[in-house]
Amino acid sequence: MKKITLRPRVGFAALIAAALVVALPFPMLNAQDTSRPRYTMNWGSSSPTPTPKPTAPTGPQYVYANAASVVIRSGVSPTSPIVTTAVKGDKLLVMEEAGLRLKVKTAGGLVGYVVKLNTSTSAPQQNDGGFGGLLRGNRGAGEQSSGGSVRGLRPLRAPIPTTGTLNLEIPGSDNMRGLAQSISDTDVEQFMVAGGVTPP
Amino acid sequence: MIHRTTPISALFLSLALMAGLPTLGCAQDRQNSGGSIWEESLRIGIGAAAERAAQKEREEEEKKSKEKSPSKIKYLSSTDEQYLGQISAELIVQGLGPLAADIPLQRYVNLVGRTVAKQSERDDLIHAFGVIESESLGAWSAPGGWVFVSTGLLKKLQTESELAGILAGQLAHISQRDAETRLDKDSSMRAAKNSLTEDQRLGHLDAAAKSVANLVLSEGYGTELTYAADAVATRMLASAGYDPNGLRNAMLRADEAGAKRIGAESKLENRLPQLQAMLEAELAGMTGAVNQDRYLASVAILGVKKRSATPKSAPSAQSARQEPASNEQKPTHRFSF
Repeated sequence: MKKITLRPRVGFAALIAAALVVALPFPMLNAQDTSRPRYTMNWGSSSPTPTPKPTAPTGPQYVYANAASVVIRSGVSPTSPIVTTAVKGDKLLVMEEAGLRLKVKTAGGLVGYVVKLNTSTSAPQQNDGGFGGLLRGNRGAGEQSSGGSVRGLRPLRAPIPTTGTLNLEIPGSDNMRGLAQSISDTDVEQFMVAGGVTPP
Repeated sequence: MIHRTTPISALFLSLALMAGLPTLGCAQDRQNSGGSIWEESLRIGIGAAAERAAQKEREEEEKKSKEKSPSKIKYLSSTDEQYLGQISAELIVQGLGPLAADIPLQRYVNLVGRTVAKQSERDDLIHAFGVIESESLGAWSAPGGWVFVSTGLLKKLQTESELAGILAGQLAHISQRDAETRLDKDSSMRAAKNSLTEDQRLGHLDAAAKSVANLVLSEGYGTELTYAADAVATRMLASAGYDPNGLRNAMLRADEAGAKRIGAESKLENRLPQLQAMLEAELAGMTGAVNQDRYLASVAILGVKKRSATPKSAPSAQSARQEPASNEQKPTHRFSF
């Protein structure tokens, strides 16, 4: 009798062990880890390759040149050849964003890169002398967050007159910004003509 | 009975093991060979675990390499550069002395500077120029477009092209981002470049501004960057329409005045020959505006007397060797631009 009762126990234990071995991989087949991108297992490859989402240009489709002359270059480098120069108020079609620059197309169909800082999303006022532009908010789309001045910097004071003396009670850098703001690109061009300073 | 039932149990076990275990050793070889669902499921399970472990290892290695290596970000963003420049500029003004109060003088220097700055590669910057009330013979700059020149130096110059040369030298340091290059190993600058949050970055930039001010006022840019800036400045002068000899002549004027030379980059016997060679090789025969009369009229408030528009020639090697004695005799002037 003892021999008979032992036989089913051994067989049952073996059956459970076998079932466990074959069932182990099943949770890995069925589990879905939603925190990771789904991918197809590729033996021997190094990492999962989730499909990248296409990046569409953000912000407005058009920008305006917001300095007396805005250089449009063939590449993003400051030393790239100049394609053309836009004048203040020129409307430019934004083709894509490239860091601090925008790839744009002019009304004449020329394509190149401009510095975002020299553009604005709305048509600029014609009496804005160039220097004030940056400090009044014609910064790139990624930098338009603190309204009125470059982040962390003091807002502009009134422009400095052409004669007299500086108010030395205010910080020196404020005086320098005010001086620079009070000189327009037209002033510089007149100064060059008067002094016979002519680029070759 | 024992002899009949035990082999049956063993058969179950061996069947199960045969289905799964062999895949451990030769899973990859069997990748495309088909096989049972058990084999496939075990293979995927073990593979996924191994893949995740490898991924984790790679991430840890990347994290370690990022921590060890210096900043991979070469330059600050334009906005950070301007913020750093403004704070540095204020520290430099505090260190050098107040601005000269005369607005027409300040405007004149700004107009000359803006004329040259039109040729700068950094057309995204707004350049501001300031005359510092100081007898030091020097010009300084801060990132983001800030340029300073002392009344002491203006008194020694004779022409607008010389002033343009001095300003062009500083504009070259700005356009080449020499302060950031020189401070690449500065802990504050590196931290500012690598900071992820705005608050952290602003704090590091404030600290980096002190390093910039110290660099500009005390240490200098070193010979390599200074010589490179001289070349850029001279090209800038020529393309602006000024006499390309402006910077060279300004150096000679300062030397005539007995400026105390600080740093190896100030040694004219090293600096001038390089500049002279470039002028002869690249810009031979080029002329441009000198504008001595306009300069003297514009700085009249400083009481500058008219002298020859052309300074004496470069110091000879012999006079250069005698230079330390003459410097000791005139310790009140600094030569720093």
